[in-house]
Amino acid sequence: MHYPKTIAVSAFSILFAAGAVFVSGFLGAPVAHAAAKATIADECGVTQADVAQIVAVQNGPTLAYADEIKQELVLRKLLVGETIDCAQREVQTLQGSLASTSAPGSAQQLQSQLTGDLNEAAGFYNNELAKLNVVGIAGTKEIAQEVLTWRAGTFLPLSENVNNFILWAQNQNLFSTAQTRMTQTQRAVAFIEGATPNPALQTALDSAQSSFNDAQTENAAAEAALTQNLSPDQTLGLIKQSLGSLSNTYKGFSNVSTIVSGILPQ
Amino acid sequence: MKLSDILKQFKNIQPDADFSRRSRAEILLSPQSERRTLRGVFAFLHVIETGAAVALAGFFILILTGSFSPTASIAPIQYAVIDPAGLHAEAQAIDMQIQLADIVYPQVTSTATATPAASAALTKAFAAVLGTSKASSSAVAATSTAVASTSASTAATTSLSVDQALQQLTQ
Repeated sequence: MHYPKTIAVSAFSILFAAGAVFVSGFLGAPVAHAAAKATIADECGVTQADVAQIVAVQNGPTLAYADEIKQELVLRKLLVGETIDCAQREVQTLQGSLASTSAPGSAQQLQSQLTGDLNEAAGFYNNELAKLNVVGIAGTKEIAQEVLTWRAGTFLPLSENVNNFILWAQNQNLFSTAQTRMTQTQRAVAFIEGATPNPALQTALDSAQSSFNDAQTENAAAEAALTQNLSPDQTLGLIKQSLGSLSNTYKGFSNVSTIVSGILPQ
Repeated sequence: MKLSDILKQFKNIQPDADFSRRSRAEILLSPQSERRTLRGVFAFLHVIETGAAVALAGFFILILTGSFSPTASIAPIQYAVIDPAGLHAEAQAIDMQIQLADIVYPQVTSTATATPAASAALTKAFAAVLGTSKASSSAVAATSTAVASTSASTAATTSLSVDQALQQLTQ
């Protein structure tokens, strides 16, 4: 039951894709395609008007009761099936994004686990579609309720965890770049301090180092939260904190750069 | 005979013809590898010399054109530390990632407006399903009219999210 679909790109996808291209451009991370793919939302094509067809059939003045029942059943199966198809496409999008995400070695087991969870989700939808073939009107309602409940309790947290994992994995390139810059900055400051001690320079470096330590701690905590399957909100909070600390680290680098520029002969 | 006459006769002394032939043959057939090896060594050194000259010239050209800064590689201070453009680019990449993290998780099929083509396709599918019964032909017309009238409404043509659709289909 696949119908012509259009691709709706939300504001999130535009920003996400732009960000991914930006990051990959500077850091060489092969994430642009994956990130863009992760956020393209398939449009189901099920509208309020489509659902209203059921009411139209129920209230059809010229239809016999038996015909009303038959047509309502056909409509309900069509719409529930199309909705589950849409949910399956949602899983496929996440599967593709997760598969194309490059994760560090320590997180590959988690990546495999999430892949397995998504495969189970696809299996669940397949089972529900199969059940749809042999039920009546009440059965279609039960299937809709069952899928709705399962999504709220199982799939939505899973999809959020997958999104968090992809975000976290992308961040590792940023941390790697920051580590390299920190090492270079420490060497430069040590050299300059050896020649002409400058308290402001050392203070700026200490500030950057402190922020970077915080960022690394929060980044490790985010990975632990993902591994321990903590709440997605909690994990996202840690990821945001780590990025905030990393941003502060670069403010420190910028201060160091300004001071060093003033010290070195032009 | 005077001694001087005897000495003049020395000019006429000739080696034995057979001895001359054998000696010439031996000389010509003797190996000359040592001389060749030396020539090869000199040729190799010449190539090295030419190559070094070309490399040195290229090095100076790079320096003159500014393509290569020896101080950046040799100096103990890594110039990346005071590279504002590089710093700015890396900081921007982080800011972009922060914006991504701040955005709510994407909701598939949330509020995207259905295209006329998609709506028409579903309407056609419904008509095909409902049209299988002769008795329901009037109902098809009625529902088609209903769809036509409701399609004018923005709300009616707005695609439902998976959860919204499921919620409505439980009733």
